[in-house]
Amino acid sequence: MSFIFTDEQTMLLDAATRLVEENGGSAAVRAAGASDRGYDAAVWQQMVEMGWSAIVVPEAQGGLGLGQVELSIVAAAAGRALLPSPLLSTAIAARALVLAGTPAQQDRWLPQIAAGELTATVALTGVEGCYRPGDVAATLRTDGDGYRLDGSAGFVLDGHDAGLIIVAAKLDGEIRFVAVPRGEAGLSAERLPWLDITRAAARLGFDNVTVPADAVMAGGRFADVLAFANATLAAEQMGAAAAALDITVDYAKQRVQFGQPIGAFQAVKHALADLALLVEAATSAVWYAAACADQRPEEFAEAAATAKLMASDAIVKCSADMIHYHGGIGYTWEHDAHLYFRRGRTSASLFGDADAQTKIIADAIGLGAETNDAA
Amino acid sequence: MRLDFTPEQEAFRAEVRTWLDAQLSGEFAHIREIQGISEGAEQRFPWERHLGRAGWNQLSWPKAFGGREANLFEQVIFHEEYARSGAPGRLSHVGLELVAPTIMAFGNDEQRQRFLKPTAEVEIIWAQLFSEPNAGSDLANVQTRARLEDRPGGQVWVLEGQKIWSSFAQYSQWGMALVRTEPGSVGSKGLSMLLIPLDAKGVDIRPIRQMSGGSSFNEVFLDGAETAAANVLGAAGEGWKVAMGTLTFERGVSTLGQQMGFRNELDHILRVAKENGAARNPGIAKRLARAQAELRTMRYTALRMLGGSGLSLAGLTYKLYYTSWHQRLGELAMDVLGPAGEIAVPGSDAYRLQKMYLESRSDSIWAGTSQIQRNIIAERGLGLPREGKAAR
Repeated sequence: MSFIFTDEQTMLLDAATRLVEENGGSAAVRAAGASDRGYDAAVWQQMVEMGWSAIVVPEAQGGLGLGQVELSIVAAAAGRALLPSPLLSTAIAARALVLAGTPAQQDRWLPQIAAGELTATVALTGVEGCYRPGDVAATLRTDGDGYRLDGSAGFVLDGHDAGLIIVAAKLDGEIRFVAVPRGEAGLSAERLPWLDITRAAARLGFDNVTVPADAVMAGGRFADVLAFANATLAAEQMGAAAAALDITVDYAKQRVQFGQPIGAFQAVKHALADLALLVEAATSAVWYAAACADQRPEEFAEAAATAKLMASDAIVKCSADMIHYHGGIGYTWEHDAHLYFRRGRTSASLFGDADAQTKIIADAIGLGAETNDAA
Repeated sequence: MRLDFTPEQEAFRAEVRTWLDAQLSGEFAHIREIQGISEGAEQRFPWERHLGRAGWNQLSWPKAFGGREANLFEQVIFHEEYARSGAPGRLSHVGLELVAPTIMAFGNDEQRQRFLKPTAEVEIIWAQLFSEPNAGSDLANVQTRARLEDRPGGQVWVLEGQKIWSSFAQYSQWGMALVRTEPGSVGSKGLSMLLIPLDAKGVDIRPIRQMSGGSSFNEVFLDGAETAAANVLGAAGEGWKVAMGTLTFERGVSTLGQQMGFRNELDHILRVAKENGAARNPGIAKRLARAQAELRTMRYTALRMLGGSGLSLAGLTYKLYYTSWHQRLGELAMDVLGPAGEIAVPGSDAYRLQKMYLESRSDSIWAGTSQIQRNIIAERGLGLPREGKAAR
């Protein structure tokens, strides 16, 4: 048993931190988020060159075949600066292909993803943004040898830009993943005016989209894909929460009122200590979930839900207090506090909010039947 | 980052479990029935001596002091297995977890020879004599005085003052006392750490009845109590440094075992909630799930803290995190029981959970209140400045 990174993981963390520091910064992050793509393609290209698009792709498909710990390391680094990129969406889509795809589907798409030639995303829910199986709003129906896809999807990360969309769709009541390439006839995508302005999400429409039989994946992996999505998102949230706390602590050391730094006053320092608790809890839960993904699949669903719950608590509270303890300046558009605050809210809902995560945990401890009203 | 224990560590776990199971189904079977912090002392001490003679109390100690030099993970395993076995917490905790490490760190060879083995074997039970009526959170305000006087057999320290909140002092033969040895000194200067016999004249120990009904704390009145001049730990005048060393031992590996105790409590509440239908209330179910998530998180925080080197932010936050969690768990337990839980006879589910509910209120007070913890986290962990003189 060990709770420290390997030398390779430490090197990855150092490299990721450098890349994010060199490319982050308020102006760059805001400009990238506001651009048509929602990210800076040159920054993404750097990430690709560092191998980030290949982390979870198996070596057989040209990837690095690394684990969730490595993915969480780069997600956490990017999260610190809220650096926009298709890293999260593409990694989750790659996961979905690894978990549910046929060998032919994996051989077709994963090498392109690993090489950075193709970005991808997942469409897991309807336009309401809830993540119960019943919320999936895309449906498949048979048509000759293949299928047709109808309906819609909401909160699709980078959905207006991704080259490949892994869509969760209902077929005879069961959720199946379907690989839909960008540009397919009947597929429409509209970027959403999202609360989060450092990340793009789209609403997708499916109008009689042709789906060949070999684009449909095995069923039964919806909850697994969501768990990986949440474990990765939680790492990003944890990075963002830690940054929000660090920035606020620095300010509390600099800002002088009543003849001393405001961070000397117990009313302020105790509040910041409480934030440190949340960040430390998120950190523990995130690495535990990442290690479970790679080593203890039987514990992973609960661990991922726990990580998401803890990391959401941390980013939501740290970003709110980041505004507050900066005083008036924290409430201005120019200050970055609102960027973290926006990310806090949207990331807490994305892939399932606190209610959804507690439901997963309740199931794991045998309270499942009792909380059916939440389903 | 590895979650699994090695085959050698698993073999050690099997050894511990086999030994505990054998003892707890034989001679000491009755020990599992004992609940609460301070109940059943007359049965618990023989059990704790038994553990010491078998070497478990001094597992991590250097071989030179009779220990087994168990590494961190073996200690974790032992504490987990101990808690899982259902045996009660240790009345000898103060000696094993606080005094012995302090003697190892600051004592001289003679003191180590004299005290460590009997402490491990629970032949000496220790009390910690730090707090005073006017020195709680502000520990440096200690007023108990000690002065050197000549006696026919040599010099002795003579003590005058009052200590309070001393856990299990009513059972103790020795105390580790932070006292003022430089007349007129103020604050953390001029203090010394003395080891004093408690069965001598001039020592009056009075148990304090707590709000939970039990008595684990005591007042200790020192009125001309004496201890040999040699019984000073570290140099005279360096008591503050020694005390700060002791306080860092308060959050050691035994926290992992304590978490297994929390696990048992949460499992108990889950069982009751399923049986009495409270778990069907979605609000209760969510709080139970959250308690589960936070307990899991706590375990990995503890392992991160113990696995790392030096004083980490995780380590600094740990006490505040678990005590807040435990107090919320007490509240949750009472909500799970409902009004019926207010009526309890000894031995019932309600009685055990009521006791936990009451006892958990001490968590935010002892070993540095939650406010002191926040100061420590902010100042030592986050590097925030101390409050200015003008505001003090």
